[in-house]
Amino acid sequence: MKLGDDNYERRLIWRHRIGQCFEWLCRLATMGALAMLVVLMGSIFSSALSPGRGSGLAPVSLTDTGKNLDTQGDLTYTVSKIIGGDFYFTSDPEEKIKSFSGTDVRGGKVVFNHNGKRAAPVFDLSVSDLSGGKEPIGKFKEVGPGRIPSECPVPHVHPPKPAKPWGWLTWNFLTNGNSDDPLQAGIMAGFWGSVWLIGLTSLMVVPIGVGAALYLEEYAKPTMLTKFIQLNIANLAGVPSIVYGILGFTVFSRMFGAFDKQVTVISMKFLQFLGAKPIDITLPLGPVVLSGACTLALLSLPVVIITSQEALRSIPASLRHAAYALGATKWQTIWHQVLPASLPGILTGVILSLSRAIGEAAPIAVIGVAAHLSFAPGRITGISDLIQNPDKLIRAPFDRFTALPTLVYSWVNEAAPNFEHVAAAGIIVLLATLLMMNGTAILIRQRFQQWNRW
Amino acid sequence: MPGSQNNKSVSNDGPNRTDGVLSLRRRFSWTHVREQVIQWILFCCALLSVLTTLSIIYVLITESVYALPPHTAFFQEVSLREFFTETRWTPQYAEEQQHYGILPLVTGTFLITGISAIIGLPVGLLIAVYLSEYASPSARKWVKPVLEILAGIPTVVYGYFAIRFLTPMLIVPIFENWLGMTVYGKNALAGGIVVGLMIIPMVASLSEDVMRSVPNSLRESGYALGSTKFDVSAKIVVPAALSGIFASFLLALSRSIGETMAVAIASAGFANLTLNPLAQIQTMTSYIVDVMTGEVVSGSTVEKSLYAVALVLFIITMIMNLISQWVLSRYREVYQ
Repeated sequence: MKLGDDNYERRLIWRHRIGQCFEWLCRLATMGALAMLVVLMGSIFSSALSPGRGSGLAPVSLTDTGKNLDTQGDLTYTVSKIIGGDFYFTSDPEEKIKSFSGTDVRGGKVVFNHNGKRAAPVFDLSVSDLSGGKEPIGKFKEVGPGRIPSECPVPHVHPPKPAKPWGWLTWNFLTNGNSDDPLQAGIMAGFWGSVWLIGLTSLMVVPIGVGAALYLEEYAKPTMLTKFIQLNIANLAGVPSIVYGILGFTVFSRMFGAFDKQVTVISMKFLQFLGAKPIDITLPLGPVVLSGACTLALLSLPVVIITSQEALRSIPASLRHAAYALGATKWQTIWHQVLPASLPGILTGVILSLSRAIGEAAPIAVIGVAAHLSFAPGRITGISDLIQNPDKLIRAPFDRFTALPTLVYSWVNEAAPNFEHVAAAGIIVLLATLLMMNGTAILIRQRFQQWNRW
Repeated sequence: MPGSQNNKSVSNDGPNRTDGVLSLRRRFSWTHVREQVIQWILFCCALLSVLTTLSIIYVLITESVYALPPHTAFFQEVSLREFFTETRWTPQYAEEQQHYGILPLVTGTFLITGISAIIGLPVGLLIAVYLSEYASPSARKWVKPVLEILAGIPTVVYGYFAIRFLTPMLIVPIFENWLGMTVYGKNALAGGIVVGLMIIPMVASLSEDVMRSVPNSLRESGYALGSTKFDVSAKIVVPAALSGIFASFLLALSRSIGETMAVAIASAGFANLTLNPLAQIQTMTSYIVDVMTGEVVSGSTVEKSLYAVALVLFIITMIMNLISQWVLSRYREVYQ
């Protein structure tokens, strides 16, 4: 310690400053990552809640009634009073519409932009003859949704679909199938497709994954084979999901191209007493729910095995020893002691890895799933429909489907305007589904933690 | 190996129980058979993962390297020389203009990976240092779950974020309006940034794990020699955990090489041999999605090219994973 040495003290101060800077850099990085999450969520929600301005949709369209199409060019439409909401032309989004002539009407339709007010647009519109000018041919009064004036001579005015208080995430969006019209497009088919995927995938992946973990943790001796299997699982967990997609496409969807055409292999007739048609299972499977579920099962299997192994490893050896001491066989010990004790850990891991798999769009898109479907797998329309036709439950796994992330992908890539809002609404449904699954995992972990006896 | 768990016969005059519950003698009992059958079933479950790897390799090889005579594989139609040296990738053109040189796809992939590495690796490492060295337990308690949320967001969402927020709100104002460069609607930069975001939680949690497993005695000896907190974290903990950090970097990079949807949405247009981050590019993964979501003729060269690309992708990520597994396992041996 050299007191009074200026150089030394300055060095000390600088070291301190560098340390402070570094600490703040670390804090900044963490805050930045968290802020990015906020921005991401904010951009999605604001897009889903925005009513879609400036993109030519939410249109006011004048539809020709069939009368006097030729004279449309001679007509001038004057917006005499806007009662609620403003309207802009798509060609010039800046200019408010006060009047437009018949030449703007193409194919009996003119498209306005709705400025984004939530209220249903209501306005007065007078239609006048170019030659007469002053004499209005007809007058539209306070045209609101479903109120088309009876005396209008030329076009009907269809007010835009009112933007709802919840933006694009409406009840219609949740219950409609997909559509080319962003106002009609809905997520129902994708949601039920994903639900079927989750169900079938977990049916396959839970027994196999837990079984493999049990073998590796409880039975396997540290031989070369075990080490190889272990390494192989760790590697499989890192294989890109698209490669699993290619595998699923070749093995399940196309079946190596071994079949020239669809071949019926099984025809199930046992439900015929209910008046159901025989259920034909054809090969190759094609892009059906079952091939999607098999692909996702292969994809999530390594992660499920690894997390289950960790859960099994956390069970103290004393539990096993106690069971052995009481004369239980290996399997009795596992089935009655080890598995129940490790169940919360296993279930949490399984649900988390499944929710990761459900969010994957790539493997599902690659096996040949079409996004433009408007029905749930098996064409199930509701519970009453299911009670009347229980055979649909067996048909569903062999039916074509679409899933939430694939729908979102197709909407994001859609060039037509306003699909970005549909995609944002779809993303919210997707995130809500995943949140529900993760919430279940947390709930299970808390509920079962009381069982633990150590 | 299964079958090695036989009950040893302990003594001949043990309790001669014939009700099949427990027998200490080596004799036929249903319990024993059941135990063996269960063990074999579990072994088959574990073997399924090996089967998955084998079938991935089989599928990729038969479509790209060698196919049985009635069919031809990709490399029997396109020479290896063309595949690796040709600079054009134009499978979408008519037959005579088709070129299959994987170079543009590989450059595209590494452009995305490079940008994501510039963003994701340092930020992830800084977060890891913060979490393991600086953060109070309460801060760690809520930062970690938020990072997990960031890791659990599906990749299509990141793609949406890139193309609807990053490009129009950040990249176009900065690079086009301010610096006067040409920015494509789909550009490599937006894709790279979101992939970087995606790997941050992965790098952070893996690196934090290895940093926390650095023994406290190392830190304490540092302090005893008069080190500041910065000295300890940057000059003792990070170097001590370096191999683990390296492994986490490799895993993250292999993830960003294999990342598909975000890139397909945000950056991918046509295969373009360029290093300009503001241009459209095509990566190996997004090429596969692009072709598969469109119309593809079964048995055509275009379809087989998918398998060849997937094979290259598989090999690259496999090598990176193997190296990082090896590094991690060696690291564990050092400190545990």
